[in-house]
Amino acid sequence: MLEIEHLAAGYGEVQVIWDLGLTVGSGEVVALLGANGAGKTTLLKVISGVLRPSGGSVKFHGCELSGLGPEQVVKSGISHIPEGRQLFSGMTVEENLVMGAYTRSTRGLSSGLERIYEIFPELSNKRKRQAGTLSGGEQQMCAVGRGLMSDPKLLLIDELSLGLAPVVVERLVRAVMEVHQQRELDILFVEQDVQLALEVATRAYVMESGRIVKQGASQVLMDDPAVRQAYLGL
Amino acid sequence: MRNNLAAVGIWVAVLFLVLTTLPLILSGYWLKILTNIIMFAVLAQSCNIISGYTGYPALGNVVFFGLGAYSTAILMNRIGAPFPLALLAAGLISGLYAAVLGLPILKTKGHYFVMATLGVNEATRELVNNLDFLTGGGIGMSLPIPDRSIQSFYILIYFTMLVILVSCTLLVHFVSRSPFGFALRAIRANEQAAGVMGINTTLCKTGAWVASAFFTGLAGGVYAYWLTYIESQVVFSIIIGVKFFVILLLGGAGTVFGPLLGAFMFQIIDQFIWGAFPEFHLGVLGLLMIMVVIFVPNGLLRLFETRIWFPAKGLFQALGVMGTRAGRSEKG
Repeated sequence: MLEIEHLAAGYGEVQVIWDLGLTVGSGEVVALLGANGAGKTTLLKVISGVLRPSGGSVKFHGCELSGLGPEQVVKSGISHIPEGRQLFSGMTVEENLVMGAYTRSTRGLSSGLERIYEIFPELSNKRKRQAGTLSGGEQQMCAVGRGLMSDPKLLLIDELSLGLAPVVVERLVRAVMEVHQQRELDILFVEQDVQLALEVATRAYVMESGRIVKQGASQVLMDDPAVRQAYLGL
Repeated sequence: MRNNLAAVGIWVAVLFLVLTTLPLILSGYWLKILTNIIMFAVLAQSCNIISGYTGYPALGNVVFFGLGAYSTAILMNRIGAPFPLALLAAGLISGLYAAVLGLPILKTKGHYFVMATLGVNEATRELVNNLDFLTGGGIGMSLPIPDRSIQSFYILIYFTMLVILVSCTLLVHFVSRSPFGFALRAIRANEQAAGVMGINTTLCKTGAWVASAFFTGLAGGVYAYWLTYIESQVVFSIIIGVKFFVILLLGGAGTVFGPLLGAFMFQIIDQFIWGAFPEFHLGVLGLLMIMVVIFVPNGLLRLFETRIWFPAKGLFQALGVMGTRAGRSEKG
């Protein structure tokens, strides 16, 4: 249960997010849409504590998160899969995954790893390989796996499809959705592929220059003429 | 893996035996050389924690060497503290200095961090130069002359240095296989991602630098007592900083035994090649640095691990295994 109210944030003098409100309820998959520079990635950074907001509140299950560092946000049950994967490229696949469970006790570590290898068997064969030598799709699998290792209650995903073949994207999306259904995992994701996003999400927000300009159930947005014209080219 | 570990055990035992019996046989000159090697191994190993594992090139780490030397000298001279106590305090003072400085300076990265540490070194040296009443200023400082025979004193210094090297290396060994060491490597690989994984990066970086400073300070303290006279131009000399950094790169940054190997190799080069170029040995140091970066960017330890031509390949492989092995996955 994530509740954001009147959020303001930016980089130094430049304000990127203005008076933004957003919620992710239990059992929801919420998409965040918008053009480049709308502030989507910035919003995820604020939620995960990488960036401090300049105003407003971010509450997760009733606890205030704004002002906490990323390590405390992770402990509260939020995991962030950053844009461009950001793997530890000099470390092996398995070490990357283990890093994801850094805040948890080492008990259950091997079963956690096995779970990820079940979801992505490709990684299982390459667990001793350096993460930087994997293909783009495998790297994204590794990033998703690493994000799941902390056993989060809320997963933030930034551009799962970035630079990947449609087939691979479909695999990744299916895998993430399976985890969503099996365990109580809520998801907030940023996606450029609007068609895909609206198929997967229960609800979606549309951002423009740092503000939410539209929100609603995916089906409703899919039929919205403005959305269709702006993002689907229909 | 078990064979490798057994090999490491045997080699370490042999090395230990050699290092403990050698000083009893060696003449004064060679004992001095050996002590010098051990001292630079300590400095490189300390630097390894913050530079090799955490990826912060602390070229100005020599500031803790100078600080340790001066702390020991001041405590022994002005307060009359016994050497072991003064030495321990010197280590702690160096560590504290790193903790206070680390918070602002560890926010910088790469070249900027190098320059910041160099700046700290220069500033600290100037401070020492100007606090005449405490440090003797430009005249330098003498330490109390030990009341024992010269030979037994040098042997005592040697073993003190060796104990520091062994503790420092053991620390690096255990840290490299602990979650803390894992966190340091993650910071080196991708600091922002490390933060998002739940690592308190500020705390980890500062912790690594404090440990690094503590051992560097200890080496400085022993050095001061060993020479019984110190001056700021020598103990804060950037040449020392460059030297242990080259040793670290030469041996292999981010490995447990790289700094030790580097210190021995460097001393061999120093003895037999530099002797021929007394006028421009600094130039040779620069040249060596360039050659290391071009030809052995990962250090000799990793080179010997992967090349067949070296007779003791097995040893280096085994040592490398200890150095680079992560080990956590098996613990699960």
